[in-house]
Amino acid sequence: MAALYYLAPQFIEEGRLCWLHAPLYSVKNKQNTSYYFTDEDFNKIRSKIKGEVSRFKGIGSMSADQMAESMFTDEYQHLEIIEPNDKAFILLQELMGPDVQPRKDFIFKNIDFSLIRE
Amino acid sequence: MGKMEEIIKESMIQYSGAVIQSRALVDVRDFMKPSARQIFYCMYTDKFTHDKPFKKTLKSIGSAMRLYVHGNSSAEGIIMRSSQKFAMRLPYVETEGSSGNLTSSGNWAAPRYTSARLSEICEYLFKNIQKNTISEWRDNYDDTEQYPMVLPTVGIYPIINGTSGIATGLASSIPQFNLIEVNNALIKLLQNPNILDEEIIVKPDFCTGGILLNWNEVKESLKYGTGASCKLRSVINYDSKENCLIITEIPYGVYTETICNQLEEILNGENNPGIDRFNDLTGKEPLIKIYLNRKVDPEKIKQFLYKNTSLQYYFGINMTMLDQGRFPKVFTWKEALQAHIDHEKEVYRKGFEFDLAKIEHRIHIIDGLLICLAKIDEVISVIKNSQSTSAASLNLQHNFLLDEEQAKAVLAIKLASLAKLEVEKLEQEKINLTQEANRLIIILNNENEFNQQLINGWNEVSKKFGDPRRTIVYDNYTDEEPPKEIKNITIYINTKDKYVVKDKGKSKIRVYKKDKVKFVMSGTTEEKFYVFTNLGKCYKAAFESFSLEPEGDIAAKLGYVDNEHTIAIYHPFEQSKTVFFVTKLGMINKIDTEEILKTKKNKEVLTFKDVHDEVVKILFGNGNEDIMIATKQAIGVHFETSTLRTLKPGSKGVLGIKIALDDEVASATLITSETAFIASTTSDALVKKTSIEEYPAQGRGTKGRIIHKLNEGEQLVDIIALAADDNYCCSENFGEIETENIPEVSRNSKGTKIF
Repeated sequence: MAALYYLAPQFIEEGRLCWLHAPLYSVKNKQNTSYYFTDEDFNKIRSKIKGEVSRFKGIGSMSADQMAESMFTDEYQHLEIIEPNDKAFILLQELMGPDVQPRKDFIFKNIDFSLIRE
Repeated sequence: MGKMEEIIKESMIQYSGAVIQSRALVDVRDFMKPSARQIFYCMYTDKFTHDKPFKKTLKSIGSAMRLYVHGNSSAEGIIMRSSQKFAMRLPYVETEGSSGNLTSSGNWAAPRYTSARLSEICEYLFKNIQKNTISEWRDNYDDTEQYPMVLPTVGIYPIINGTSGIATGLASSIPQFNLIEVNNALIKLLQNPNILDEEIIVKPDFCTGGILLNWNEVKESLKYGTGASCKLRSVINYDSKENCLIITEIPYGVYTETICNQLEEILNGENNPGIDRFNDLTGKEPLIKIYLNRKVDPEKIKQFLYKNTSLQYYFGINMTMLDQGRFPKVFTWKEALQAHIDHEKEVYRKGFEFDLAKIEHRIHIIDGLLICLAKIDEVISVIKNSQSTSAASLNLQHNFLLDEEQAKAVLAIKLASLAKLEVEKLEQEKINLTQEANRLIIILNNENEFNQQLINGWNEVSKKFGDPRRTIVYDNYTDEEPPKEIKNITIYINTKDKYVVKDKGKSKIRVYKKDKVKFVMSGTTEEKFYVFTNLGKCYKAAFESFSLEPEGDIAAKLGYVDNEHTIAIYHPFEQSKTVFFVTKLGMINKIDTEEILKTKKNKEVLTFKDVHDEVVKILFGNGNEDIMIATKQAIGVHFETSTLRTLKPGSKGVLGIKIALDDEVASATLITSETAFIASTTSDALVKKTSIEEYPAQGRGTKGRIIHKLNEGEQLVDIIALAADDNYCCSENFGEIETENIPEVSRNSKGTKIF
């Protein structure tokens, strides 16, 4: 998004930037395959899972068929238009800009370090 | 909050949180980055250890993939780098095959050719990890296994290996240290938690050696966790036989490739200080030879290289680390050491508790066995009368007050154990175990005993892996200019403005034969002198620059313009207060000496009223002498200079003598109270002297009176004031003659030829 913002800001300003969600999990059994887009959704059915579970780390861990099925079918397609927003542009400049201090401030203000991220 | 903002914020939190917590920064307790910890843990659990044969590096990389998510090539990098003796103060990995050298980064052989295993020190990194000493474990990427959040690192604080990492908004950079020195500091801090920082701060000690120049600054940086960088220098020696500089140690973090590229640029550039060629002979150890031109001073080249290449390099200090494996924080030296001590204490405590629990469990079992062995016949009948094994267990528990585990152990007794000797063995084992348990209980309950265990651990590691320090440390090294050889020299300048320099001590020099020596100036190579010209300019000249070029042309040396020639030279030790400039057309300028010496280089110190005018004589005095100005037609005027105003440089001056149209000033001389005679000489070299009493002072700017009777076509060349006790009359125009040989005659008389 930062690259687009710096190279083609008009693209975002015109509201043409969309977010196509990719699934995090798939559960495959004999009858069908279902996809889950958030940890919450997945955790709801976690206890009743029958079949093989896959965790997708990125679109690289999906086959073309899986991707077509999960991201480009009516059943699962999850496309969101990202509305441009001045505050967001300012935030983007702060976080991706050359000055370290605003980034540092953001990090210490917003990140809860007691959770470990990886 | 708009959607876009939310996405940006959430992504940033995820990303920078991950980079800070799980990638770039080390944990203060075990001084490991998560990736290294994961990889070493995999190698450790897959038994790629120093006591087993070497296995291909690829196997280690494959093993690391159990936990490590960042790809095989970065795992390869970590494994190979951890084995480099010039990257790690104490390598964690041993390799067979090429693990690279200092010429460039990452130049190791492909992992299918090399073999790797953990080195012996890793035993201490993982010591007692199986004894539940680490409380926090994390799932790997597919939840199939777990890895420790921190390594036990018993007896060693891996801060000795240093780190550098760039996270988002944060970065860390910590130099390397000496194992023995750090362990001794840990011991001191453990014994006295309130110890002064100064007593436990350890000097950096890089694996590549080198010289640290600014320990005083670095000490402060370590004390507060951040501050001035380490200023590092290469070790460079001069080999006079080959006339080359030999570089044997380079600053940590620099590869010889970088240095060679910089040298190449210097060689091809315009500012080459005298490097002829160089050769990078780096193999096992760094070695660069820089061959020099014959004439240059190796010390100067050394300074130039330190200034212009990575042979002098900086290593930053920023002790940002993770507290409890989570919270980024800048640690002070003491806090870091304390965090490690606390961690080791926990590891030790848990280890002892684990051992104690195990021993107590075994004693419990032995107790059960001993009870049953004492009544073995009853035991056998109970078992015989039981329907099943589980019933036998229950019956045993009931009849002999055993618990399930004891009963199980009794049921497992072999018939051979019934021998008397075996019973004694069990009893002996119980005694031994009880002793051991008591020892552990004492250690766990007595702080001194407990601390002694840590100290023993550190001493053991120091003894086994410690080595002498490699980096030489200076408190505060500043470059002193290499001591110059101060020479006493004399400069002879002839009437054609050519000069020769005579070195004191050197025997004979070639003195100009045809042209007479006009000026002689002596001084040391540290001093400066001033040269005045007919155009009224003042040049500053260094004896040193003349000594380097012992023969030449003043005009070229100082940059004279056409028709400019030297009139006077002045050395500050003469301590004159005032300079008198007498011009061809009879003007006189009295200027303060200091003001003149302050003026800018090559700047005229006076202005001429007439464009054809020029300075003919410059006299250095105190400002209270009288002056006598004489013209070519032997007209002279004597007047007091104390009446003259001291002028600023750049002024035009006042009239000294009113001269006839076809006349011009030839010379001038200062007259003091000691002056007895005025000697004069002419173009025909006729010399005379006349008592000063014949020249009473007149008014300034008057016409003057005849001072020397001239023949047809003869001109006055020079006059000079002589004191009564002057033995010699010495000047370019007089030559060197004894005063008593000069005939004393009246004012309006002719001179006599002496030679």
